[in-house]
Amino acid sequence: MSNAYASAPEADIILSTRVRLARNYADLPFEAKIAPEEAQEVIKRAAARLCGDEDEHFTFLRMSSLDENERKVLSEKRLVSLDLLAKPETGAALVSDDETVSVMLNEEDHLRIQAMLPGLQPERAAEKAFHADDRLGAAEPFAFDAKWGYLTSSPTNAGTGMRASAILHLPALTLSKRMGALAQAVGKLGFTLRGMYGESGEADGCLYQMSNQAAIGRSEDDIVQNFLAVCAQAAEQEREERKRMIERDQDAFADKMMRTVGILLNARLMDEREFMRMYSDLRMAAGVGLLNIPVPGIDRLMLEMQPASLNALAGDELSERDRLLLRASEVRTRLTALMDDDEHME
Amino acid sequence: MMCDECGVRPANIHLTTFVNGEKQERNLCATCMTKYKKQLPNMDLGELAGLLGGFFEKALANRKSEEEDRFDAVCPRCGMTYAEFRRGGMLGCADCYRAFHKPLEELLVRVSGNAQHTGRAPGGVDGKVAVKMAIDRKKQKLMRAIAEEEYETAAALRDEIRALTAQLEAMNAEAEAGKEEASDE
Repeated sequence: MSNAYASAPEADIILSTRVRLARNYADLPFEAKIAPEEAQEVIKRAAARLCGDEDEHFTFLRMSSLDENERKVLSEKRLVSLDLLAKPETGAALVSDDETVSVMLNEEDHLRIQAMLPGLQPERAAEKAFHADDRLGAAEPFAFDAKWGYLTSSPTNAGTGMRASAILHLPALTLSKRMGALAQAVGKLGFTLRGMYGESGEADGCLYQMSNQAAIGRSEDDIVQNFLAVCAQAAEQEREERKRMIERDQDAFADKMMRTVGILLNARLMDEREFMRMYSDLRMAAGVGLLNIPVPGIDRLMLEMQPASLNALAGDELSERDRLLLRASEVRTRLTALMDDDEHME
Repeated sequence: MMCDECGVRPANIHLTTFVNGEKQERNLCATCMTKYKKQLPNMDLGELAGLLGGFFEKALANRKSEEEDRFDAVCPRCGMTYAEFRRGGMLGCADCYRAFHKPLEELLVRVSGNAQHTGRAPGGVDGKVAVKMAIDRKKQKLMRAIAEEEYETAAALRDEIRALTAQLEAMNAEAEAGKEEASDE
């Protein structure tokens, strides 16, 4: 499995790609006007379609039957949105066994079908989402109109109902203060680039999300192809900027990266923001080949060090102080293991 | 000639601006012009309208947001009012699209530069959709062919688009005739 992950296209810069489709049943009111029993009908229909014995197996999760922490873990894994978590009575999700496809039920739209894959793979992600789309829409028709396309709660999603997004790791472009120019350039092409974590304007871990703005007026294929080109272009710019950084002062670059490794292997208390900064250095060092650690392992480490995932690991709600301790000690052991694995490989 | 801004759509607007006394000339498509216009909030749109040969007159007509505020409709199916939609941003059901057709169209043109779906359709909803989609795809290919100066390909595509458009019109006429027959009975 880790091999497939490691060979994902553009994985040195791009963590993952997601394609999301918004769908509503034609005969039921949308979220703003839906009655509780109609919301249950949405759940019944979707579960009946996807929980059958077909090629891909899905697990059904009712938000009301999960505890607070289990819900947060789902959200940290990006399988469900925070909006869905805010709807404990009617919110539900269907998640495929390999966690690449998930369907949120009774979120802003009846169905939010999403497929997520490592690296830059919008075509395959779209294919997977369409496959689930066809299965879900086979019995009860979706709200659709020849002019407006698929009808959605928010008119800005009408049309294809599709949003393609990817998480990009852009530390060199951030350091050289070129993110503003890049965001402006992709904006002209109909895409949005914004910080993934952190307060407005800052992007913790130098992680950014790229997504398409318009859902109407362009075919799915068109959106996917343009998205692919724009993301690949951004990744290429990041690579060039990294190269320039190293050429400018190779020793200073290596020094900064290796000091980060030193801190990660020795710290005893580590808060989230510090960890995200270090994660970014570590990922870049691995991306340019300075460190021989597989990038997917670093990403997994990052996801597992998020607050709810740490709680899940401890099996208990942690105090802030205990979380700092646990994060530091987990990072030490896991990073050591990742580096050891690598020595065996050589 | 393709648009100076996006390079993917044919240019059909010639824009002349004076910035600090310096003359700039650009050839733009309607979509990029709309975006460009947003970056120039202080410009006297009325004065520009003359320069742009009617384009801005249309844009000015679309800008009547007070008219939108006064727009008052209720969706007959779910009871959503337009004012309620403006507050929450969410529609109540599929029929709201028909009830609020006009302002929604303006909104989508403003936000997305377009309000006509091209792309997937649920299996067999409407044969016309498939034809419309085919036309759209060929139009895009045609633009690429023009941009790459492959005029033979472009000519072939133009003929195919004509044939498909005729097919679509025939389908529309058939549907109309069907409706009339039904109402005669």
